[in-house]
This record gives sequence, C-alpha cells and structure tokens, in this order.
Amino acid sequence: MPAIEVHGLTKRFGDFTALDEIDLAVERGIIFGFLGPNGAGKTTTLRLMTGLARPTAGRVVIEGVEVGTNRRPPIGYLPDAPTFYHWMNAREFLRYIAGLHGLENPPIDAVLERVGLHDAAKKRVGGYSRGMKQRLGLAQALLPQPAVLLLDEPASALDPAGRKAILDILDDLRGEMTVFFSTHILGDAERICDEIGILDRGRLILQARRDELLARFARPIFEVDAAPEATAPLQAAAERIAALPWVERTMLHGSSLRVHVRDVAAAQRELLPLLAGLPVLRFEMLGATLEDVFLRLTNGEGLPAQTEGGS
Amino acid sequence: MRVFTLQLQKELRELWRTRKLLIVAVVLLAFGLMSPIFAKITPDLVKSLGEGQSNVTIILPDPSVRDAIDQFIKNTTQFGLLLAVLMSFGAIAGERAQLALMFTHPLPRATFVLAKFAGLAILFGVGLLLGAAADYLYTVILFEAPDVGGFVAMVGLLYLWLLCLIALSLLASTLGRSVTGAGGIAFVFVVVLLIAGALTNLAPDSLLNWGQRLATEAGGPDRWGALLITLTLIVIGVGGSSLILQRQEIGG
Repeated sequence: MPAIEVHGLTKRFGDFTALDEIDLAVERGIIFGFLGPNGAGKTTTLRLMTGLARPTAGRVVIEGVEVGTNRRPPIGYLPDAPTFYHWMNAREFLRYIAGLHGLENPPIDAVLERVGLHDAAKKRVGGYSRGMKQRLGLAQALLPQPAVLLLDEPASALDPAGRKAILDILDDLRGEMTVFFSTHILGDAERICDEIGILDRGRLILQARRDELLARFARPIFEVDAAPEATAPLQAAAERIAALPWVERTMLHGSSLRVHVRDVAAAQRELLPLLAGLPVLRFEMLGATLEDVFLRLTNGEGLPAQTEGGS
Repeated sequence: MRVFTLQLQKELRELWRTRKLLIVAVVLLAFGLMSPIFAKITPDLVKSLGEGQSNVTIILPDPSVRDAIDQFIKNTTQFGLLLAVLMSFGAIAGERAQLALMFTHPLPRATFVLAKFAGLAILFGVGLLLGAAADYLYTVILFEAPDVGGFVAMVGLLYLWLLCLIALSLLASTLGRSVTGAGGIAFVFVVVLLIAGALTNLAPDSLLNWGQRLATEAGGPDRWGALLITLTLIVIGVGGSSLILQRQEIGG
C-alpha cells in the first residue's frame, strides 16, 4: 500500500480549475518533491491532502485513511508561512501540540535538537526570524512522529544557509517517514528527492524517480578536454569520430572536443577507446539538470523518447 | 474533554499573557468602585453649579441605593459592551493564520470555538465579579446594603447580557474572513440588538432593566421572554460559529 494515494483530485473555484483530476501514488519512506511554477496548484493540493480544504471531486488516502472522513490521517503539516502564537515560546508551543495528540512523554528536547532550536526554546516565538519559525514549524510537524510529513515550500523563502539546514533535516528523515514537499526551487528537489512529480497549470504532467528522469533527459553530448599540446592529434581523432555512424556531429575548439551522438550506448562503449594515446584531461557525458527537465516539460515539449542507454 | 481543557488553558494563558485579563478586570473593577461614589457626589456637584447665582436654586433628592445601582448598570453596560465586542470579534478572525497549522492537529473545530467562548466567559465573569463586589462594598459604605438576592440576580442578568454580546461577536468573528470584516459584522449585530432593545421587551436589553428592578426591589414585570431570547442568542452565536467554522476551508 502506498503512503499517499491521490485519485482524480479536482478543485474548482467558480470557473477556475485549480487542480484537474490529479492521480498520484507515493511510496512509503521516500522523499517526494512536488514541483511546479508559482500558481500551478501545489498549495491547493497540500490543503486538500491535509483536509483544510475540500475537493470538488476525487479523494486522498494517506496510510489507508481517507482525508475528510471522521478518522484523522497520521500526518504532520508545515504550511508555507507558518504562524504561531507570538506570546508562547517554542517549548511551550510543542508541549501544547503534544497535549493535543495526547502524548505522555513527548520527545520535545529531541525534536528541538533535531531542528536546531534547542538554545532558543525559551525565547518568545514573536521574536523569531523567518528561518527559526520554519524550524519550529518543522518541529511541530515532526513531534507526533507522523507516518507522512506534508511540507509546503519548506525552504523556499529562506536564505541559502537556512535552506541547506532545512534540506539536511529532511534528508535525514529518509526511510523514517514519507516526506512530501512542494517547491519551485529545482535545486532543492534535485538534491534530496527520490521521486518527483511536476505540476503545471493544475495538471500533473509527470511523476518519476529522480535518477530515471535525469537519465531520460540526459543530453546526448560528450565532452573531451585534452592537454593543450595535443590539439593536432585531437583534431585527427575528431575527424575519425565524425565519420562513425552513431555520431551526429563533432565540434572542436582548441583542445576541447564536443561530440553530439545519436546512440548514447554506442558512444559510451566506443568513444573512449578511440581517444587512446591522447593526453585526456576530462571525459564527460553532459547530464541533465532538473531545471532542464522542468523547463522542457512546462514549456510543453513533453517527454523525450527513451533511448537504449538513457535509462 | 481532555482537548477542551487543554484548549481552555491555552485561551486563559493567552488572556493573561496578552494583558486582556488585566484590562477587563481593571476597567470593570474601576467602574464598580466609582459607581456608588459618582451616585453620592453627583447631587453635590450639580448643586455647586448653582452656587453664587442668586436667582438659581437647584433642588435634588438625596442620593440613594437605587442611584448607585443605576450608575453601576449604566457604566458596566457601556464599557462592558465596548470591551466584550472588542475582545471577541477578533478571537477567531485574528487567529486564521494559526488555524492552517492548528487544524491539522487533533483539535476539533467545535472544541476550538467552545474553548474560545469559555475563555471569554471566564474573562468577563472575573471582571464583572470584581466590579460587582467593589460596587456592593462601596454601596454599603456610602448608602446602605442592597438586597443580596436582588443584587446577585442583577449581576447574573448583566452577565448573561454580556455573554450574548460575546457569543454574537464570536459568530461575527467566524463569518468575517478578516479582522476588519469581523468588526463590521459585529458592529451590525450590536446596532440590531440596540434597535431591538428600543422596540421590544423581548430583546436582551430588557434584562438590564429587570436586573435593576430586582436589585432595588422596585416592582415591575419579569422579563422571562427576554431571558429566553438571550439564552437562545447565546446558543445560536456559539453553535452557529462552530458549525460555520466546520464548513469553512482554511488557508489559501
């Protein structure tokens, strides 16, 4: 049974369709990145998953519990801009949350330690920075040790150091609980996600394992840098390579050679032996970034055909 | 019940830490203390206006317990109305940002509303009790002891009137998507209540007049109808608030 199942989830606001029949299944214990440009419907999806909003059609099942029924699914949730009671301190707030869950020995110190707020636990939340509030938001979501953690743009508004800190905490949670987080920062998702879903204008246009996705979108280009004194032999090698049937074209700039190929697998097998004897400094197949994938998909280019060596 | 108790504790802590308890207690206590004093010195103040003017003679009856009670009811209702509405209309509307976080925890929305109402009821109960005790004490010192039963009944009716305002302001707080919107709706509710008070003896305002007559042992009709209407409005305010909040989508 997947940790999260979304079936035909639709949300309309009058004539505007914010979400259009989303289907999604998220495995247990993974970190799932829910990507999309601003206004794609990410927050709406999360509000429907938490039961804060009701769907126009469709349903969400989390750990076997349907959202919106009398049973509460085992979730922890962090909204994109968490707001707290300014007069409380972090420890007091977590004690209050623990009380709501009926926890007898809540791991408050451990959670505060985990999110790096232990030293500020007695400071009033009203005096917290944005990053500290985000950490406290994460702490309250983690405290009841939920099976599924739902996070709405948990690091997007933070500075690089704050973002790294939050992502490190999420990375540590892999295998411990299912983490589902939305973001429009592709680097964050690329760094820690096992699986990725891309939402665009209310439609889920892709769901795939991150590695598979990046391999599938890998550009069929190989780059070779040789030592400067090897320009002439590199040019000779480039001419031999250009004549091969699996090569589309070659481009030589001084001691740098770029080979565009038709068959990645053949290139992976045969290209390097053809350079034998040359003082090669670097040999690399250019990989795809999530940004490439995202931009291609959200610009309507669709998925590339799967190549033999590309997966 | 466990969650209600926890939530009520949170509400009471909030009222204490944000000084709301102090403000309400001090204001109602002050008017409780001052009402008998005002009643006592007002005739002398008015008489002093005529002094030195040979052609003006001001004749006023001696102040009595009735004047002290009248002053107390007048002051407490004026400032009580203001405080009750101001403290209540933002109670839910002003907390919407936190609700997106709180309602994903096991906190039933009906429990949330009930605890809000209970917290405000305790807040004004404490304030009114202090004010009434001070008023009774000074009335005894400056005049004579009012009938205890009648005085207690008057305070009870005054309290119900305040609870009615709190419940309707909470309803406004749930209906309004912003604090300003909630304030506007609460203002409309108060105006309607005041107009109703001028038109019919069934309005909650009639409880004040009934209480005044009970405390001063003056004769007059009982206002059981107004009492029933007031209790109904309290139930509508709290119950309606709870039902509406359960149907509302949070955040976004």
